[in-house]
Amino acid sequence: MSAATQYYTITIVVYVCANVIAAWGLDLQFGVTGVLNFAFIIFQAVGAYTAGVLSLGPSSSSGGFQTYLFGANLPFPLPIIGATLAGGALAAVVGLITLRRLRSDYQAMVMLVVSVVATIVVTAETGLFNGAAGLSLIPNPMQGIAGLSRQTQSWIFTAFCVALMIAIGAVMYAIVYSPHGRVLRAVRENEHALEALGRSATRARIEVFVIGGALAGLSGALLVEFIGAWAPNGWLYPETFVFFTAVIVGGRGSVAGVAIGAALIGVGIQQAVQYMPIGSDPTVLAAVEWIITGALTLVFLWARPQGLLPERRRRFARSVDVAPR
Amino acid sequence: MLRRERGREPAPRADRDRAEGGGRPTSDMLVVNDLARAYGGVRAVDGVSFSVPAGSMAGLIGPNGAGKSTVLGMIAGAIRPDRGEILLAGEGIAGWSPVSVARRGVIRTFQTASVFARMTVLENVLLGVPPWHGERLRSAFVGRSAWRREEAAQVKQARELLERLDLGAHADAYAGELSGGQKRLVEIGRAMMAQPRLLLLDEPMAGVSRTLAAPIEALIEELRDGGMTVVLVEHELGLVERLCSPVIVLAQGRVLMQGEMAQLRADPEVRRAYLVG
Repeated sequence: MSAATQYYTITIVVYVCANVIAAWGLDLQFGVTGVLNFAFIIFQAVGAYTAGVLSLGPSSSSGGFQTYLFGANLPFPLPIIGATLAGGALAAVVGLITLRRLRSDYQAMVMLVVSVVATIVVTAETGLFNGAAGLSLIPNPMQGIAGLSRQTQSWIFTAFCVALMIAIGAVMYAIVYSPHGRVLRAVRENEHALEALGRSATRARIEVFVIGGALAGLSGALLVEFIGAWAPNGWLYPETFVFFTAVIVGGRGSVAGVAIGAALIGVGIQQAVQYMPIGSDPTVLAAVEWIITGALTLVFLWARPQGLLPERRRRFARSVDVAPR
Repeated sequence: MLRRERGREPAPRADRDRAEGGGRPTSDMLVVNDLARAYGGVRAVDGVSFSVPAGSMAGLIGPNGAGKSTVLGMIAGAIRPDRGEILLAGEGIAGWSPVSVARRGVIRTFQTASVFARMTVLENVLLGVPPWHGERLRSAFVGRSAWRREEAAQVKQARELLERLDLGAHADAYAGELSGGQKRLVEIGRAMMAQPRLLLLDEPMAGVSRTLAAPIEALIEELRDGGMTVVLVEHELGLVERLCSPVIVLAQGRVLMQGEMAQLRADPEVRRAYLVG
């Protein structure tokens, strides 16, 4: 395999893994529990920035090239762990404020506002994460493994991403197909009826909000460690809707379906557009991507709301003692 | 991190049962004193008081707008009373959240049958089981074999209940696909799984076809004969007369009269306010 092909393959796989992990986080919130988190992208962003500053070292060491808060030179995988925790912590703060007293439609509006405000603040305040220019020169997480070529390091990181995605998938299955998952789906279906049965819908929502935020932070960390840079124009609020499309197209509440949706929408469309006879102007390519994403959202909501792979109907084995009449 | 109901966590079911009547000793399962609730200038409930002996089925009737559902909502915790006292086996529960009230053993049904539409009928009934350790988030990862056994026992119980309700064939159907009457049966069956101390039935016959009205009535009668304490809000007076004692008549947010249905039918004030013929 040529070096170019290897690099292309690695890039696709890492992006798919990161997108699938993020989409699962949103699926737990929106697909399973019905929380409209229109601020989802900021949790991925906080994970990316956290992993970045925990990898770059103090900003003074760059000679003023970029300014940011804190800064540490932690070895792999500590920046990724820190990013996951940061995503969860931010979600806890936002969730406790928005999910306790607001009606679901107002929650959605507040989330959208939070997302827009976050982008404005981070872009304007250069002392936070270097403003509009963002962070760059984030070191390769595998650089500590001596004696290996850059390509081998990349393959190891790719294998790590795949293993992580499989592990997160197992976590998703464990949650969704458990009695706890049943409670989460009941929140989505009828929270008042659920509360009348003694379960707290608010508590369930905050739990999945934190878990989803942590997964978003994790995906941001994987992306930033691979790309080596992260800037506000990569996490504008419309990016949240790419993940919503992935969940809707794949199948709300379907772990496998959302994985397919994330691969198709997050990576598949971007790659497919490259091969269309529409020239190579990046602005045009990006616009066509958005048009396709939006069209798919509308088509699926109208014609196939259950998605490509619908949520699995939960069936229980029948005991031999209970015979049907 | 999360605010607890008035500084205390409702006790688990076993502790609750041991503490039954932990307030003042009483043979009444439910006592409502001077309950009131206003919406703007409209007094929906204005000083309602009544009691329901343990093991009895009390009927709550009255014309539209009398405040019946508001009273039920306040007992269930869905509506916060402006004033008044609600005692469940002697323990004050006025102003508690619906979650806390339900954990104390008060289960309600809704005017419109409230099922979880995109969940199976069996799952709907399983959610009637009082909150248990298997539903905690950590149980999704730890102790799976233990809760799987417990869940299997609950599934068996739920299937038996569905067979009794003649819904066994629909166990794996989505609850949203059922008829109105079947949804009502699912809702009552779910309430039965909860084994509540107090069951609040809000117009269980609303929107139910004649075919299913008889089985639903039979089910409610079975609950009464089994010793469950029930408050039944219903417009179908024949049902109330057959099943309920005592019967409380509300009008314009106040208790007009309470007693046996035969007495109420004969009272001119009640007839003027509500009953026709």
